[in-house]
Amino acid sequence: MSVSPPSRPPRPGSGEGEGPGPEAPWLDDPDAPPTAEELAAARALAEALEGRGEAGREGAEFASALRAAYEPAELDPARHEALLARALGEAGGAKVVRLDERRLAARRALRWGGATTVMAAAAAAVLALWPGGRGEGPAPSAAVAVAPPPALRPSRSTQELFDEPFARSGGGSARIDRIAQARSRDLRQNRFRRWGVP
Amino acid sequence: MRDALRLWLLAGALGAAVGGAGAASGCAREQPPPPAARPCAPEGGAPAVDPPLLAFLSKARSLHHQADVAEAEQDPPRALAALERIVAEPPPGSLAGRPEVAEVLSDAFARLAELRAVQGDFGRAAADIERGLSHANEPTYFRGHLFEVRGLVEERRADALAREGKGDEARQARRQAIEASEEAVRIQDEVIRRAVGGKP
Repeated sequence: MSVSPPSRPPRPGSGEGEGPGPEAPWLDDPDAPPTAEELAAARALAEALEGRGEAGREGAEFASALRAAYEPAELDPARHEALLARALGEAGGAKVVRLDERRLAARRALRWGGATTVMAAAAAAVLALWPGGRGEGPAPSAAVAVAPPPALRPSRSTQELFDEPFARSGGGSARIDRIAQARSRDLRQNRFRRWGVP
Repeated sequence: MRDALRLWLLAGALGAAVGGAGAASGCAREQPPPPAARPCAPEGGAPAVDPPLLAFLSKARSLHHQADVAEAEQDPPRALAALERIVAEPPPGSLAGRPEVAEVLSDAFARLAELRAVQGDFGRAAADIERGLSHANEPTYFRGHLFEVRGLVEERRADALAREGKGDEARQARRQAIEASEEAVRIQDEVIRRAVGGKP
């Protein structure tokens, strides 16, 4: 339904049907005080919006559209029947399904689908629990097994740090330098592993 | 309408069945990543390398370098004093028995013995060797080095005895030096044999 708000009453001297011209003072001054006709039209529109009063056809349609969009009222049963009759008449030979029948059909379909889903879930459970159902492949736990986290670097002999016997004399400082440096690396690595850094 | 609904429900049921079967077959790609795992403790119950161990090693390194400076300045007593600080106190409980600590202590005793021998303090040098060996029971370069130093100490002692006109004692000291060197060679051979995987 195409509804347009009631047109503003023409101002005296504005020229009906010619559109507002430069002589229309309310275009130049929107704050101009309303005329008596404008006040009467506003009252009629307000009454129509509130569902009372005698508004013109144009205003009543506009008010009905606004009210239906904001707060739709119950459809009058007689009007409902009339709309149905008109719609069925226009449908001609089309198959007519009553609403309650459609609901019953939907319920039947839901029951059927639910039963099928339950059976499918049961089949999946059987596949999951069947001892030989997965053939010779690895167990799921093995398939998703992840490498164990690396162990922390242990305290151990420093012998591995030296490729050859020590000099017969001296070299003590060089050895402790190498030992401290190697274990410093180990400690840093252990910290990273504790933090979960690979 | 009803047929379409049935088709949709059938498709849904088949999808559920396929999804369930996929889950049952253990598809690893669908698994969420495992949570971050805590690192394992070292095998064999050995403690992990930790800050106390690094603190001990750093302290020993600093004192060795202080001894270097003192030796460079021809100040053996100051060098000895620095090295004695390494071995003066037994390591605290958490460090006792750590291989690194034992090896650093044994090496400090070896250097102490060498310095004392230069000073002519052969008795304390021999005692340092013995204390060092108590920290190096396994055949390692550290234990072998202690026997080498023992050989050096005995050589110096033999020279000192010879200068004093004590020929027999000097010869005995030289024999002990040779025996210590032989023991050092035996230990190094053992280390090499273990390193290449041979039988002991």
